[in-house]
Amino acid sequence: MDDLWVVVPAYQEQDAIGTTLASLFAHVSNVVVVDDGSSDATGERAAAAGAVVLRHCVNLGQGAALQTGISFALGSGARYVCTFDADGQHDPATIAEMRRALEAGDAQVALGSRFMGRSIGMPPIRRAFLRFAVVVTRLMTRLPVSDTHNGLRLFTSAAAKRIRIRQLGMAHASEILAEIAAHKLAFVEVPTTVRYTEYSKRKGQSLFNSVKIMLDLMYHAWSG
Amino acid sequence: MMIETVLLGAIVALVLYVGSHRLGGAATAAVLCVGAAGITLVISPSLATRVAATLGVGRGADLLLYFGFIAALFVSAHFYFRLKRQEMQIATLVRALAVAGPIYPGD
Repeated sequence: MDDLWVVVPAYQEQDAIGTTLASLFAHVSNVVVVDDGSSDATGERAAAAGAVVLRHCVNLGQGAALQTGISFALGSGARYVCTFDADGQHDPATIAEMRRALEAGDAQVALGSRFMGRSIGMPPIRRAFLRFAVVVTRLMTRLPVSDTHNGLRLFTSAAAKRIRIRQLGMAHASEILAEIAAHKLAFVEVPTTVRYTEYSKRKGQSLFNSVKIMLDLMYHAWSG
Repeated sequence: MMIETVLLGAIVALVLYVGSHRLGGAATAAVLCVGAAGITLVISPSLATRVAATLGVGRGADLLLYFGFIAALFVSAHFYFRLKRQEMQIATLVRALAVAGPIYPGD
């Protein structure tokens, strides 16, 4: 899969990035890690694991890191661009399934869905928040999606060029869906397995951040 | 009399301080208007009460409170949106620096 680039946004992930990249490189050959201003050894460990590393000199947020990585991947000639979380909660084998889904049909975007697939160890409060986010996003975008905050996605280069992530923080997940709706990009959902470990739960979103995401989205809707 | 002197001195000092910075025409006009209104109200406090009565507000102090609250909201919104714009500008700059200097395996 030389024409596929995986974008991994990472902030303070020195404990997980090596393992995540090792599992990724068993399935893909091009990985770019965007070190989003980490003060730990995330960037060094990602480079040691064989990834191309882009470094934000200040912490901007996951949305900004994704856009940086996607821009780099497109500039490197990617035909497919995948987004993948740094904490290792995704199964890299799913990337090939997503690619097959895009090659087999007319879809330009493949979205991972833990609710069509499996989620292992998901805390009930997170499940409730994600279900609520699905309802809100469906209302806002009119897209019949089953999982709105899954970090595993695959875009054709044409789709990746059209999607512009302006939300610097975590609200980018809903923004990407809004962009898919605005540009009328055909998409397909692919069942994924998401494993919640103690590490990934610690790194996940707090309820306070969830409220902040809603405020960011309201600002985005207001400012256009 | 004492408080009037203090307030007038503060308003004049504020206008001079703001005026010493090179502001645009609209900002200068706004500062001059606010300063003039402040001086007028200090010299003639009953004016606020008369205007309040005309507008259907009980007291002049209440009217000033309402205007102050609205002004604070406008200023907050103005700086919030400016902050958001600057965040985007910083992100663009940081992104350009990051993409210009990739670290390849083995570097």
